[in-house]
Amino acid sequence: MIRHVDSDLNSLKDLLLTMGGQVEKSLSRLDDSLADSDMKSLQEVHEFEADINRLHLEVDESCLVLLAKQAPFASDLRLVQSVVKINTDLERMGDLIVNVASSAERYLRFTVRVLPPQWGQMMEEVRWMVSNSLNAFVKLDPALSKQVLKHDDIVDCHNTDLTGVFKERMKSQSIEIDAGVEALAMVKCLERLADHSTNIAEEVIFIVTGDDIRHGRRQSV
Amino acid sequence: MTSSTGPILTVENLNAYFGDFHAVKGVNLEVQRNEVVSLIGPSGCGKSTFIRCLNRLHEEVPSANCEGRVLIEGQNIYAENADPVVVRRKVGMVFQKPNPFPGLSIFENVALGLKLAGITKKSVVTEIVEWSLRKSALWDEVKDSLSSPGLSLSGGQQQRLCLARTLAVKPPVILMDEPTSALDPISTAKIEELVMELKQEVTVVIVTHNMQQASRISDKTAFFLMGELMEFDETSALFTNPKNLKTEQYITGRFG
Ligand SMILES: Nc1ncnc2c1ncn2[C@@H]1O[C@H](COP(=O)(O)OP(=O)(O)O)[C@@H](O)[C@H]1O
Ligand SMILES: [Mg+2]
Repeated sequence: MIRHVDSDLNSLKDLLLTMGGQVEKSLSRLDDSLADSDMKSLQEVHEFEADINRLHLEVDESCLVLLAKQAPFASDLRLVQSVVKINTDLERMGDLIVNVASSAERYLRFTVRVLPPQWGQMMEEVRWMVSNSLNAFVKLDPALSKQVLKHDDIVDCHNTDLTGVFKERMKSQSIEIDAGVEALAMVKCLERLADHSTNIAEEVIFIVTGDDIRHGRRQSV
Repeated sequence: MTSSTGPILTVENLNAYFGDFHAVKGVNLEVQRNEVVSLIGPSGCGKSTFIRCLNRLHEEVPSANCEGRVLIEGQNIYAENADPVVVRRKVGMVFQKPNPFPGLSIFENVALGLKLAGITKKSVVTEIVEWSLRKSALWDEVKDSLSSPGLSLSGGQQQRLCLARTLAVKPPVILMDEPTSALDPISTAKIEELVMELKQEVTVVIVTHNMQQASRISDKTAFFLMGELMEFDETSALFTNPKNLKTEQYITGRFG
């Protein structure tokens, strides 16, 4: 049976995914710029933020209208509530990517410019998590969500390692304190990006199963 | 109106028939005191038949019968010695279409049930009529016209008059069969408010086609399908995360 609410729900999903796409592109631009130490393309990261902010407002408004118009129940209701939350996550992710770019701009002004190889590995994990949390949402796939949650442990390890690496470099004065502070901020932001992806993955599990697994409430992962 | 503990209403393996037609199939259900329970489900799934078994109205239909046990405050209303008239006093009912007694005044509409119950002392009757009309939020609107015909009231007022009439004999349980489906939104909202107020003193079982109404006013919701009770749960759980796929399909409009 075709339901009118489905077309509204599908438009809402599309809008959220457009926003997710902008977050992914912004992260990819960041990654490429850092790999090439390209200051100019790094600045383009900022351009995505305005678009992400606009979509943030649009998604919120669509959710409100849908709730008022359709008064959804059960999985429909869970979907809308989750979209509201994922929307907040994506907006924060947009900000974090800009924060990394800003820190990177300052970091790259110092003489020692090279990021350790593990930065690239951590970035790769985070990009995988961002993109697969969104894939899990598209496919409403709890199994993929659980994989995303598992990858968060890897990111946490990279975070610990890289934090150690930069602290060591600062202690041994192989980089300046100012550069080290920016680098630590960049690592922290990447780690937070992964956390937001896990939030998205948890929301997908909630939409599909109705189980709230946040804060260790379920041992099912 | 009641003080003891334990479920106020227990339904055990209830089956109801119209001749050979099996309209309610093996329903088990327990309702606690001061709860509002909604019954939802597609037309013809047996909601009305089910609640009409709870006050022995079902058997009034020729060829209709039912089996199983229905305990009100622990007493089986289908016991050999149970008197249907007494049962209906304990389990009041409000119907879809407001049905004040024609030819009777507003006052008489509420007082009639008292008279039938043997309460005749004028001061007592007057007191209970006022109490009932206040409880059904009608007093202020009718206190100066108590001798006007009940049928002179608006539809929403008539429905509240029927509620007052039911309340007058102080039943521990009130059944309502789509009590707002013939009313405008404002009258509907008034009835909903009343139901939520009344649960302080009575237990309400209400059939409704309006799922928003069920989710607004009831503590528990029962979903019926083709004579069977498919799911019975806290309203908050049933409308956000139903356990039965059929319930999910029905409340999200994915049916048929
Ligand atoms: N008086 C009757 N005689 C025969 N069948 C009836 C009678 N009343 C209801 N039914 C049948 O019993 C089933 C349940 O009806 P009902 O309890 O009125 O459903 P609901 O209230 O859920 O719409 C329906 O299939 C209906 O056609
Ligand atoms: Mg009915």
